Amino acid sequence: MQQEQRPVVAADSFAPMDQLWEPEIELTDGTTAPVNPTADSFYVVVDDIDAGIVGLDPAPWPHLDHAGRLSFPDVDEEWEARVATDANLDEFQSAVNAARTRADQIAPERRLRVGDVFHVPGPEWPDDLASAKPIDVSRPARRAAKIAHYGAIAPRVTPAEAERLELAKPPEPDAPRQSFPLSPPPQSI
Amino acid sequence: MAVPGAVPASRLSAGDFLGSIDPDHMVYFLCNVGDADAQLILLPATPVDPDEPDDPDNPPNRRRQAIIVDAGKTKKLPRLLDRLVDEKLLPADGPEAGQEHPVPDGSIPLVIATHPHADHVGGIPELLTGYKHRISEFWDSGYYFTSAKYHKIMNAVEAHPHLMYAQPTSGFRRWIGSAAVTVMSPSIHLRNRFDTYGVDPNNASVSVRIEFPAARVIQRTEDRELVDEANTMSLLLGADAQTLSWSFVMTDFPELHPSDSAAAKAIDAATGEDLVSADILKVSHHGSKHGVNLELVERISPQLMLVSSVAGAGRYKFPHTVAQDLIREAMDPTTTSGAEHRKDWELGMFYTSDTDDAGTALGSIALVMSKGKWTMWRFGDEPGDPIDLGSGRQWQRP
Repeated sequence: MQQEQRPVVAADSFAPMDQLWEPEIELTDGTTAPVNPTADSFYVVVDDIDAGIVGLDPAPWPHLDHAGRLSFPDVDEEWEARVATDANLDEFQSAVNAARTRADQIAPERRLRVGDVFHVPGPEWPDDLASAKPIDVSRPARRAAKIAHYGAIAPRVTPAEAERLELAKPPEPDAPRQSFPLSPPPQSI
Repeated sequence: MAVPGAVPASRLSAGDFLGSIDPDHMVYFLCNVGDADAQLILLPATPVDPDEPDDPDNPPNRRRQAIIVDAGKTKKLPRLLDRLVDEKLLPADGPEAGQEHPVPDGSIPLVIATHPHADHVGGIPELLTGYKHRISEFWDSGYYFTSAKYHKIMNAVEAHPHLMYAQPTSGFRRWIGSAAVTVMSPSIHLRNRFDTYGVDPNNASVSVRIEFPAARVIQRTEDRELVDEANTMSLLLGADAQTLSWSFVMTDFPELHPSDSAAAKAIDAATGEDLVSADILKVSHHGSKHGVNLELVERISPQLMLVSSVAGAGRYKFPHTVAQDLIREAMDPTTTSGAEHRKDWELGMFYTSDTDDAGTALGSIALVMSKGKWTMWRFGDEPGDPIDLGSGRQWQRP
């Protein structure tokens, strides 16, 4: 019999909870601010950049599942038809630069990279991404992807084992938080 | 962008595609999925139990396996898999089907997600979940990506405790049935830079060279004999690797020249081989100007060059004229003579978006390969259509 490659995970742990993924963004003064997404928000990935075009890969904003994974709802062709998958590179770059500057995010004028992620408020896909004030959540999104990667392929460590091996970081004091001025108000989902 | 020229309908004739496949044939499918990639390699039937009498005419003693390289964004590849099962070209579901955590039967020994762009991996989560009772091993580039599809892939891997997982880099080899799969890219040099975000995901692509039949040993009772390079064919599947990635391939896989020195002959060494050459090239990145270069195509020196693209209608207007022209120049040098290149179909360059000169879409491509020879079939499907294996038209070579 083929040996198991990784632990058996209960199927129900993949079920989404009624809790959205709520990343925080870093500000220039060292504090963080919540993004406050809603269930109607869009999770927009820069899939490709070529020939002055930004290829976008939008998805509904993810929930968390019962194991802390990001859980993205399935979408149908009707949903895909509502969103755009292209943006002009210069216009999109200007829009995100302006949004990062207004939000006082670090490195507000860094150039776009493939894999960058933006929160775009819903419920309708904006006609003009610039006016939609996309919020750059690339750093927490990359962190979440890295955790998804290692969570799937690498061995697990139990909390007790981590404590015995002194792997776990000591709890950090709560970082100061600010209200993020561009984010929509929290809504129930 | 240049829309490919029409292929003469007179060179395509209706035929019995399924009936043309013998147990010893390998079949390569390049599905028409638009500006995306979905490929399936149906390996020759091999004995299930080496200790049992090997009877090629007795199917229970033999079975086929399928390698999948990318799954596009549509359901075309799962439908093709199901059709191959219906046609008994792949084994029927075993007792593990329907189990929550099945031990795979190995009928799909390997699935490769070349790189995390949606047009290549959009269908991978469904594949890993729906066929987990068949899929033994999954490779990706190790480029963790932020997209929803990437999270779904990782969740599907995590949910499948018996699925082997690897992140191969150049030079890694796996033997499956009578084929050998060599990973050409990404170079470990590039892999080590993924975390800097300084590598384009296209250049993270896992590109592979598949040899069939690979070098093997004939085992007799008290004797064994090496058989290599006997009618071997090779496929080079370029994924979306771009110039940077190919530059490492050119150095990682040198052109080894034979030596006729006495010393070399004395130890049967330096017999010579170009480790990049291939009979069939799946042109990288849908014919992008960044996908191939002249020297690369000259070294590969393929008989056939296959491009998966939508003929100018997509976001990036693939295939790009500059890429088409350099492939033409590599295969048919005319720079000094000033002559026009022969037509693409005369050079062996075909596109999933091909039409014939009656305007009929030619669609997905299948190559039936054996003993150093190939025949090509077209199925007339549009990107959203399933492949009808009963509607194949066979290409008659010039």
